[in-house]
Amino acid sequence: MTPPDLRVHLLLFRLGQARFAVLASQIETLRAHDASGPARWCHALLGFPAAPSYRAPTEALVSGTWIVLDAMEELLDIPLEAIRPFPDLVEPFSLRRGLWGILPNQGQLIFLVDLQQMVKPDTILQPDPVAHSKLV
Amino acid sequence: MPPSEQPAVGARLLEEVKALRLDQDVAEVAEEWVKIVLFRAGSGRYAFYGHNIREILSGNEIYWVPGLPEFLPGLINVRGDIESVIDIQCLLGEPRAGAGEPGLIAMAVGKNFRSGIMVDAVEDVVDIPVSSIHPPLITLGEGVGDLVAGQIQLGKSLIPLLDIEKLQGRVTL
Repeated sequence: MTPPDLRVHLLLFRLGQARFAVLASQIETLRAHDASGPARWCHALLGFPAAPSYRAPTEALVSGTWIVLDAMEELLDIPLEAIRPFPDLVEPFSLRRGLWGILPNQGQLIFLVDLQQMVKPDTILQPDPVAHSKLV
Repeated sequence: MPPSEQPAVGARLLEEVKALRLDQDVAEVAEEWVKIVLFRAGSGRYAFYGHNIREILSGNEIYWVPGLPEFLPGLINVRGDIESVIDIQCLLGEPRAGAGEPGLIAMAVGKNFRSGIMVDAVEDVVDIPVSSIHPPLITLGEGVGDLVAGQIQLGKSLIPLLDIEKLQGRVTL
């Protein structure tokens, strides 16, 4: 059983219709999006097939890299046991995208993303990885 | 035997009828039956073994997850349990007619396997004799042929019976 004091602090944000959360401890600072800056777009890091429309783009500094997130929603303090792993069939694919858990919240599913892992040079993904390889 | 001691014709026929029924009963007891779930995906009719289908869900929101292959459209929340969803039409090579009525999700279970499977409609749940399951025809297409356990003779139709373990092998990395 998880010790009751094992809690995580999450920052929630949206990308298009999907909701995500990142450990607040991974974000060094936030700033308004600077279109001329060298920031990486979160949807591209996650492998979205197309760019969603960003309503309130904000940059988060993670391991020295600025990442553009959208629509910061709230901070949540939750027990670790509230987080579910991805189902077995999905987990190998989701982990490749830095998605490591799911938080069911008010009838919705929020995907937990490891932004530090995503900005490591050796884990930045190309737009079309092996996702369809099993069908070929 | 003098005619007066011979059993009446009716009695003799009755004995024969009883003997025939007894043989029939024995045959029916010996025949093994299985439950199957008949469903429609695209333009085709298919079946699963009934013991592989736990329940049929409708109206569940499918949550898209980045980076999943086409045959995994996302996740559903089933009374607090998060389950994957497989688009069986994609694996069967059924042409997609486009956005239509939202379909159903059959919750499938197997050995070390659990997932929702999108189907267009569930047509029936029937008991059939095991003897009506035939080996799959080699003429089945590649998409279907890789997933079938056999084919079921239902009336004039031959319906592919899908094998959950073969499906698991196809979608598991």
